[in-house]
Amino acid sequence: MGFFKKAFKVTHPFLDSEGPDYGKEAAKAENERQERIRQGTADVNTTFAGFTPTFYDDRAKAYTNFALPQLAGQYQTTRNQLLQNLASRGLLKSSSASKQGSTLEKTARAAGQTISETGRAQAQDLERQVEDRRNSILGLLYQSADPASARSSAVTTAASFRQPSAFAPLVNVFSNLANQYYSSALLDATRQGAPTYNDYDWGSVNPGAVPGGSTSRRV
Amino acid sequence: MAGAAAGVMAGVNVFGGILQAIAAQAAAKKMFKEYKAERGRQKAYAEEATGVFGERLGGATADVAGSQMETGAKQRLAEFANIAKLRLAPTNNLVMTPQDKASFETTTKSRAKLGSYSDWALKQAIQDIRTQQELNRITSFAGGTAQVFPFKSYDAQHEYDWLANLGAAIQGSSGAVQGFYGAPHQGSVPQTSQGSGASGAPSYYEGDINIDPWTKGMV
Repeated sequence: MGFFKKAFKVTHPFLDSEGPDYGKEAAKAENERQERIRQGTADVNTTFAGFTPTFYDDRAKAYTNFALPQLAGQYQTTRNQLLQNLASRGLLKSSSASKQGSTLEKTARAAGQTISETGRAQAQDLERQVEDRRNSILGLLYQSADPASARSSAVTTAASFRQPSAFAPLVNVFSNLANQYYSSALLDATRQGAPTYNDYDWGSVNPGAVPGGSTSRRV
Repeated sequence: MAGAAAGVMAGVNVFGGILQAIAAQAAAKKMFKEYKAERGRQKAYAEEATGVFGERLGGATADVAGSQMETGAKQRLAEFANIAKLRLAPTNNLVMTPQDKASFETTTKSRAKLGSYSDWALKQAIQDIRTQQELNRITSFAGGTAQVFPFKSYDAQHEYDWLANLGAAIQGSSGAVQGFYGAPHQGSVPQTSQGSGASGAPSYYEGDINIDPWTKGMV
């Protein structure tokens, strides 16, 4: 059969009805498209290769390194105010001083943990964004089979993610504590010179007092 | 002599028809072969996708979740411990009361455990994204390959056109020869326009003309 076919193709070209090989051409075009996609995927992955776990750890540390000195400053300020307040009241060795110092320390350590968690959360958020962007670039590549465009987009995106972030200043983590002690100090100052608790004649307002009785007593 | 020639021509005519039938049969077989090949290719893509998805499912089990959360909690505890070592003031940090210390340590563990859910969720999300990327690529390749199939099918359909054409040519030549011998003033077999031929054989149209196929003797 092949012999006849070959023979007729040579001797009778009008019988050669095969025409162009559409399947071969289409398969070739598809293979080229898949190769372009593979190439583009490799390029995109190479561009994003710098986004390793180490990169994200460093990103988290960057925030920690930014925020911890601010925490230390706030801690020192609050601590000084606290100690000054306690000293002015002669309470440095009191149980109240111990309790307030403990609360300050606990708050500071919890704030340190919050900073650590915030740094990690920011790094995780960045990682998610990077993966989303890479996914979207690859999605476009699978549609367009245009590795040059994908590469260009990947380079731009990766560069934008590598730029240093602008961190917001740390809010005063001791504000509640400070307010509490400021209020306490204010109350103490108000009380100075005022009658003490025992100076009041509680008998007139003592609900337990017997009306008309002779016992106007101090509580 | 003329009858023999007519018989030969009829044989040639039949041979041409047989060639065309063979061509049609061969084309049908070739098309089915291409169809089976395409099904095989699509099945291979489906199996590849199933493998990718199965691998992803293997990474989404409760055991993996427990392991990832445990790792995350350990890392967070280590970071908390590192931060706790820092001195926030030039002098020693204040001392926590035993109650605060116990409360803080419990909270620290709970906090690390709570944060580890985020670590696990991020790892799972990224694995989901990457699995989706791979599935999208496979889908793209499968779709592209499927688009080649109609062209391959077309080629298969016309693979044996040369044979069909050969058969048609043979049939045509047979008809031409028959026409040559049958044509008035040309061949050695004179014919009348109607009625009996020179050989005395009855013409097809002699006798009753009955074209009802259900008439007895017609079928």
